[in-house]
Amino acid sequence: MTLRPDPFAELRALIDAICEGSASPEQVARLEELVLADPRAEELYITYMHMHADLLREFGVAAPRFGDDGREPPVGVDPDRRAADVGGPVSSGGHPFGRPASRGRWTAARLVAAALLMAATVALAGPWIARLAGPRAGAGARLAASGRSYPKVDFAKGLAMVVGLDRVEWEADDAPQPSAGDLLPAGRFRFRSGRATLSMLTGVSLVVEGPADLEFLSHERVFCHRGKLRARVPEGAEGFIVSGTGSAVVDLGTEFGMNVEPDGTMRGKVFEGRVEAAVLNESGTIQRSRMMKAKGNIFAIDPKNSQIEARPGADEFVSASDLVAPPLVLDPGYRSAVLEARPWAYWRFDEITDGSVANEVPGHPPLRAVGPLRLTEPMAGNRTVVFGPGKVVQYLTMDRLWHAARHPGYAVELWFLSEAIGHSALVSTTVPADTNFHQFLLELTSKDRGSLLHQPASIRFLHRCPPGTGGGDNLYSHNLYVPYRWHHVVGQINGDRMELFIDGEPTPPLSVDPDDADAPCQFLLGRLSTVPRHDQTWARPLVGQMDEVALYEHPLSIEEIRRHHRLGSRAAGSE
Amino acid sequence: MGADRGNGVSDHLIAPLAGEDEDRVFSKGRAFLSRFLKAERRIFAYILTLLPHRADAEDVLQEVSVIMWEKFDEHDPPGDFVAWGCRIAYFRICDHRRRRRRQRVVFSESMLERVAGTLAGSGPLQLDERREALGLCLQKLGRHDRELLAERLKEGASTRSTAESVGRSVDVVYKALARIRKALHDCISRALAAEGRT
Repeated sequence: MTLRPDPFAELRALIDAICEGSASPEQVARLEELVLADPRAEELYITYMHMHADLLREFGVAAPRFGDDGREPPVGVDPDRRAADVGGPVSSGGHPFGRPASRGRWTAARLVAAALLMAATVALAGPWIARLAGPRAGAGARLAASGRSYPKVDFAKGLAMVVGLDRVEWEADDAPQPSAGDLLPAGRFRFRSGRATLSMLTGVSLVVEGPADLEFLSHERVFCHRGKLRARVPEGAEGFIVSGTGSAVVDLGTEFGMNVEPDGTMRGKVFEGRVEAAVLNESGTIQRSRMMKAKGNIFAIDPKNSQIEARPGADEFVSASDLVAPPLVLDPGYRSAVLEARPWAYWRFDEITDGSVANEVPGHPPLRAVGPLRLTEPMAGNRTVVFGPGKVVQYLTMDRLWHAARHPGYAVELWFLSEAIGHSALVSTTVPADTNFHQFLLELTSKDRGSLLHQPASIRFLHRCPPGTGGGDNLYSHNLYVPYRWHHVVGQINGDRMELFIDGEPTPPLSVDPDDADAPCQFLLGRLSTVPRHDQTWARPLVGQMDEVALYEHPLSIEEIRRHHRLGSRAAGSE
Repeated sequence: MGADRGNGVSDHLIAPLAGEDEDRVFSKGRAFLSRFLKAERRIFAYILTLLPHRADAEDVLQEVSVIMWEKFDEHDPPGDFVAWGCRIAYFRICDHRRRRRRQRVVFSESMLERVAGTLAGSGPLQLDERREALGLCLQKLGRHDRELLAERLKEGASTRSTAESVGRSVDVVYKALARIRKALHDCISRALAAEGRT
C-alpha cells in the first residue's frame, strides 16, 4: 500500500520548530510564505498553535480555580487537586497528568484572582486609587509578592518618572516596585537586569541598563553607584550631572553615554554636543576636568589616579531609547459619539490634502497645516498627526478667527501623546492673531527654570482675560502625563468655572469672573504662537502626536467626556 | 484666585477605600473574574498564535489582563469578552513586536493582519470544540507520551533539559514531541468529524 504523502509535512515541521523554540528566521519566513499562500495551511497553523497553547495551560502552569457556576473543568483536571510533584513521572493510578506547581511566572488569571481574594483591598483597589489620584500604573504593572502597589509620589517630591520598563528584574522581589507612569522620589533606584527608560521632570531622558544602582539626588543630579546609562538633555536643562564616587560628568547640552563602576571609574562617549568630564575632590568639588565633544574618542575618568583621558575604544554604551508611540485605536462608535455632542468643529486627521485637514462638521473651516507636519500610517483605520522634533515652525490653525460665546461656555477636546516631558503647547488662542497675547492655553509643563511655579509634568489650563502675556487663571491636572502614552483632554469654560478633565477624570474646577468676555481669537495646535522664534516665550513646540480635536460652543457633560474617553481607550488599551 | 474646591471632588478622589467603595471594587472584581477565567485560555491561545514565543506571550497576556481590568466597566461590560480581550491583545502584540525586533520569531505585519483577521471570524475553526476534544485525546495518549509532554511543557523546560531528564538524545525527544503533537491534532480532527462537526 502506498501512503499518500502529507501535503503539509513541511508546514508541520516548521510549526514544530516554532513550538520547540528553535525556528530560525528563515524557517519563520518560510512558514509565513506557506500560511499566506494557502487558507488550509493557515487553518493548520492556527489549530496547531491553539492546541499548543491549551497544552501549555494543561501542563505548564497550574490552572485557575473555576467559579461556582457549575462549569465542568477540562477533562482530566481535578480542580481540587493541589499542585502535583514537579517533573516526576505521574502514577497511572491517579490522574493521568500532573499539575506542576507554578513557580515564578504568574498567569494573568492567578494575578487577578489573588488580588481579588486578598484581605486588604489595596492590591485590587491600588490601581483604582492610583488611577483617580495620580499617574496610572499602566500595562506591565506588577504587584509585589506582598500585594502592595508602589506608593504614589506627589509631584512636589517626585524627581523622575518611569516611562518604560523592558524585562526589568528588580533587586528586592518583595518590595513594591514602580511601573510606567510612576514618579520616583529622591533615593535609590536599583535593578538586576533589563532596561529602564526614565525622564527627569526637567525633561532629561535617561535610558539605563541593568545591573544598575542609581540614586536621584535632585532635579539636576543623579549619582550612579554602578550601571550603564544614556542621557539626552534637552535645551533648557543643561548642567545636568551624572556623578560617581569621585567623578562626574556635567552636561553642556548633549546626549552622552556612561558606564560606571562601583569604584567611580567611568567610561563615557558623547553622541551629540559636549560634556565636562571631571575628577572630584573629597569635598565633591571639581579637582580636574576636561571638555569632551561628540564624534571624539571614548573618555575614561579614573578618580583614584585623578586621571581623565580620551582614548580609542570599542566599549558598548547603552543604545538610544527605542520606545515607539503606540497607535490611538478608536472604537468604531467614536466619531458618532463626538458628533452627537454637537461640535462646532471636529478634525480627525485622516488625510492632509493641499495642506488642509477637513472639518467633519459641514460648512465649518478646515485646519491649515504649517510646517513639516505629517500623518501616521493608518492603524485600524485611524491616523494621527505627528509633530516632529527640531527647530522648525509647525502648527495647525484655522484661517478664520474662532469666537466662542462666554455663556454658556465652550470646550476644547483632543487626544495627545508626547514623546517627552517638556514645556509644550497643545492648544493656544491668541488675540490679536500672530502674537503671544494668549486668551486660552492648554499646555504640558515640566520643571524648567522659566516656570518654577508651574506644577511639573502636568497639563496646564490657562484662561487670561483680557488676553496678554501674563496673569490669568490656572488649573493644573491632578494626573501627570506620561510620555509615549495617549491622553484624552477636555478644557472648558462652563459658566463661571474653568474645568479640566484628563482621561475622563475631573480636576477640581476654578471659578472665573462671569463678566469676562472672550474675544474672537486665532486658534493654534501644537505651538504657542505663529511667530518664527524658537524660545519659550514664542514656541513651546509639541513633539509627539495629536488626534480627534473638537471644539464645542457649549461645555460638555462629564458623561459625554467619559464616554468619549472610554471609546478612545477601550480598543487598544491606550490611556 | 485660589483653587476652588467646589464639591470637594479632590478629597473624594484621594480618600482611602471604605464601605461603599470597597463593595464597588469587589463587585467589579467578581464581575470581571467570572468572565476572565472563562476567557483566559482563548485569549492566551490567540496571543501565542500571533506571538509564538511562550515567555513573550505570557508577558503580553499579563499586560492585557491588567489593561482589561482597568478598562472593565461592570455596568457596561463588553458583549463579547473574548473578542474584546483579543482586540486589546492584538495591539499589545504589535507594540511588543516593534519593541522586540531582535527576537527570532517576529511575524510580518501581513501575517499578523491575516491571522488576526481569520481569528476574528474563527467560528468555522471550532476552536472551543477542539479544546474540549483535546481533553479526550490526551486520555488516549500512552503513559510515556503523557509524561514526556508533561516534562517538556512544564515551566522553564526546554528540549535539551527534557532530553537530559528522560535520558534520551535531543533529536529523539524532538521527534517524539512532533509525533505526539501530530497524533493529538489528528485525534481532535477525527473527534470533530465523528460528531459531524467538520
